[in-house]
Amino acid sequence: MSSDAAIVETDAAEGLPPSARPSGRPSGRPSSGSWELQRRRLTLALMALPMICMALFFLAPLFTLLWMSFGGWSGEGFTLVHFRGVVEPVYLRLLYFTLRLAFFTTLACALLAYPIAYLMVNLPGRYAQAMAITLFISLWLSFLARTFAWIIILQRNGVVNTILQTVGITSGPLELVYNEVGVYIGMIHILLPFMVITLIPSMKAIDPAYVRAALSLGAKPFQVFYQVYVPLSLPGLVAGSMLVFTLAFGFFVTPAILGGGRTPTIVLAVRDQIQKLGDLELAAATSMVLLLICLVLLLIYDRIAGVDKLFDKGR
Amino acid sequence: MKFKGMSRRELLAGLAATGAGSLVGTGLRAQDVAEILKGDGHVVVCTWGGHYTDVMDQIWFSKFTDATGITTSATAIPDMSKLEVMDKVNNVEWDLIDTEGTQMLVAIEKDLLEPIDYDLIFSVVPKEQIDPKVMKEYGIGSVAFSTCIGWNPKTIGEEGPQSWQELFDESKFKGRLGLYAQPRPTFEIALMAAGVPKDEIYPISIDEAFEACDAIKDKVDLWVERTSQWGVLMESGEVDLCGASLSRLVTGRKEGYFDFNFNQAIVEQSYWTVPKNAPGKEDAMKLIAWMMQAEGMREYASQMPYTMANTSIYDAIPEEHAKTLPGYPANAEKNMNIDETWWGANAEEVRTRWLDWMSS
Repeated sequence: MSSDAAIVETDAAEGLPPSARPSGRPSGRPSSGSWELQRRRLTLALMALPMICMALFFLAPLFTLLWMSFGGWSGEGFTLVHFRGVVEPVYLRLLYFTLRLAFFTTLACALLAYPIAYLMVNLPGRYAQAMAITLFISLWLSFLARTFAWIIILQRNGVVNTILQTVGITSGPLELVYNEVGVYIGMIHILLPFMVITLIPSMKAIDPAYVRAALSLGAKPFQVFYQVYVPLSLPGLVAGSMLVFTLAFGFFVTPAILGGGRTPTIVLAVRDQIQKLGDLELAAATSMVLLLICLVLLLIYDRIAGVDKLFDKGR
Repeated sequence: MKFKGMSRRELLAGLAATGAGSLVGTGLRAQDVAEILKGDGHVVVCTWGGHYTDVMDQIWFSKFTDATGITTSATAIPDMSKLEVMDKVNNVEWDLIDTEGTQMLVAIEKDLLEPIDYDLIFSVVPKEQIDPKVMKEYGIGSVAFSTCIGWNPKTIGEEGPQSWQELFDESKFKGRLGLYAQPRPTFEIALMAAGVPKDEIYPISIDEAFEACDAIKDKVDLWVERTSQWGVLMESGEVDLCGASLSRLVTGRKEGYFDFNFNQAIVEQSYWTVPKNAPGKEDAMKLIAWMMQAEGMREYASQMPYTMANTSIYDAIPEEHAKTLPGYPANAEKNMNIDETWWGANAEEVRTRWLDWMSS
C-alpha cells in the first residue's frame, strides 16, 4: 500500500516540475510541505475504502478457504490430508482438460478481439458506437440464457444446420453442440467482450504520430503494425488474456450444458465435492490448488509478456 | 393392498371434504387443526424454486398462513454444505428444507438435523395415511421424483421401449438417446438394462455398475447436465429416446411431442427436514404436519406428477387422472425405489470414479 502511495506521490512531483508549480500563493494558504502532506492524506483516504473492501470481501474469504483446506474448519488440526485427495488421477485429468480449454479459448478470443478493438478505436464514432452496442448488449443477458440460446442456434434442427442443409452445403446435420465445438463457441462468445474492453484503452493510448513516424521513415505497413502498433498495444492484450483465461478457467455452466457431458471441467468436480459429497475441506483444497496454478501461470506469463508494463507509470 | 384397506374411509373423508364442515381424516375439523397448529412465528422454507415451489406456496404455504397465523417465505436451493456453514456460524437461515434423500443422510452425519415431531403430525393426520417407507427419524417424505422411459412417437413409433433393456436395444429402437449426467440414476438404469431385476439392484457392486455403464456408454448420444434442458431437447428432436424426469415427460405428452410409460420408473424420495438450530423449528414442524394432510397432498398430486407421502389420496382423485400419477397403486407397483442409504454410504467412491468414467 505504502509503495503505491509513494508512486502516486512521485508522479505528482514529477508531473509538476518546480518551475511549473503555482507561485506567489496568497499568504495563509498551505505551504508546499503541508500541501504534499494533505495530498498524501487524501490518497490514503481515497484508498481506504477499496482496501477495506478488498480485505473484507476478498482476502478474508480467501484466508478462510485456505484455513479450511488445512483442516482448520472442522477442528481436526493442521493436516495435509485434504490435499492428498486432490492429486487423484481423475482430478489431474480434469485439470489438464480445463487448462487446455481455458488456453484455447483465450487464444481464440485474442485473435478475434484484436481486429474488433482495432476497428472500434479507428472507425468514426458513429460506427464504433454501433459496434460497441452490438458487442456489449450480450453482456446484459445472463450466462445461462445465452448458453441456452446457443443450443437453439446450434442444435441438429437449429438455425445453422437448417440453413446449411437448405442451401445444400451439408447433407446432414453437423454436430455443433453437445461436444467441444459447442463449448468453444459458447465460451468465446461470452468472453470476447471482456478481451475487447481491455484492448480498447491500450489501443486508444497509442499516439498515431508513432505510426506516421514509422511510415515516413520507410517502414512497410505490415512492419509498422508488427513492430510499432502491436508492441504498444501489448499491455491491453496481456491484461485481456489474463482476465479471459482466469474467467475461462473457472467456467462451469457453459461447458456443462453445451458439452453434453463430454467436457467435464475441474470446477464441475468442485461443485460435486460441495453439493454431492458435502466435503468442504476437499473443495477448499482443490480451490487452493486451482488458485496456485493460476498464480504460477500468471507469473510465467508475466515473465514472458511483462505484466508490469500495465502498471508502468511511463504509459 | 394397503390402499384398498383405506379406500372406504378415505372416500368418506373425501366426500366430507366437499361438504361444508370440512372434515379431515381423523375426524378433526379444519378449525381444530388450525387450533393445534396456530402460532405467530415465521418459517423460511428452502426448496427447489420455479413452478414446483409456486404450486407448494399456493396449495400449502399460503393456506397454512391463513389458517394458523404463522407466516412463511420460500427460498432456494437446498445445499447441505451451505447448511453446515450456517450452522457453524450460528446463523441458520432455513427452518424447513426439502432435501434429497442423500442430502438428508449427509446432514444427519454432520448432526445438523432435528428429529421429526411425529406426535404433532399424528395429532393432525392419521398415522396409517402416511407411507411408512417415507417416515424417517430426521425427515418425512415431501415428494418423490420419477425418472421414466421416454420416446418421440414420431420417430420411434407409438409403442416405445417397454423396459430399460429395450431402450438400449438398437435392433428395436433406433434414435438419439439422452440420459441425465449423474451416477444416480444412471447406475440403476444401466443395471436394469443389463438385466438385473428391479428388486435386486441393491446393494450395488460398484465394479459391476461401471461394467453395466460401459455397455451403454456408446449408445448414449447426450448426457444432460440440468433437468431444465429436457424440454428443449425433446421438443426440438435432439433426442428420440431418453430416461428423463417425469415432470418434463408429462409436459411432452401434453404438448404431443413425447410419450412415456411407468415401466421400471426410478423413484427418488425427497424429505422435509428441519435444521437443529433453526430459529423457527417448532413452526416448521407445524407446517410439516399441515402439509401431510390428505387434502393438500391430493391437490398437489393433481397438479404435479410426483409421488406423495400421504398414500390415501388416490381414491378421491378421478380414476382417469389418478392413472397418470406415479403414486397411483398400479403405477407404483412398477416403480424401482432408489436406496438413498446405499448412495449415502458409497457417495465418495462413486463420485470420484464417475468423474473418471465420464472424462475418459
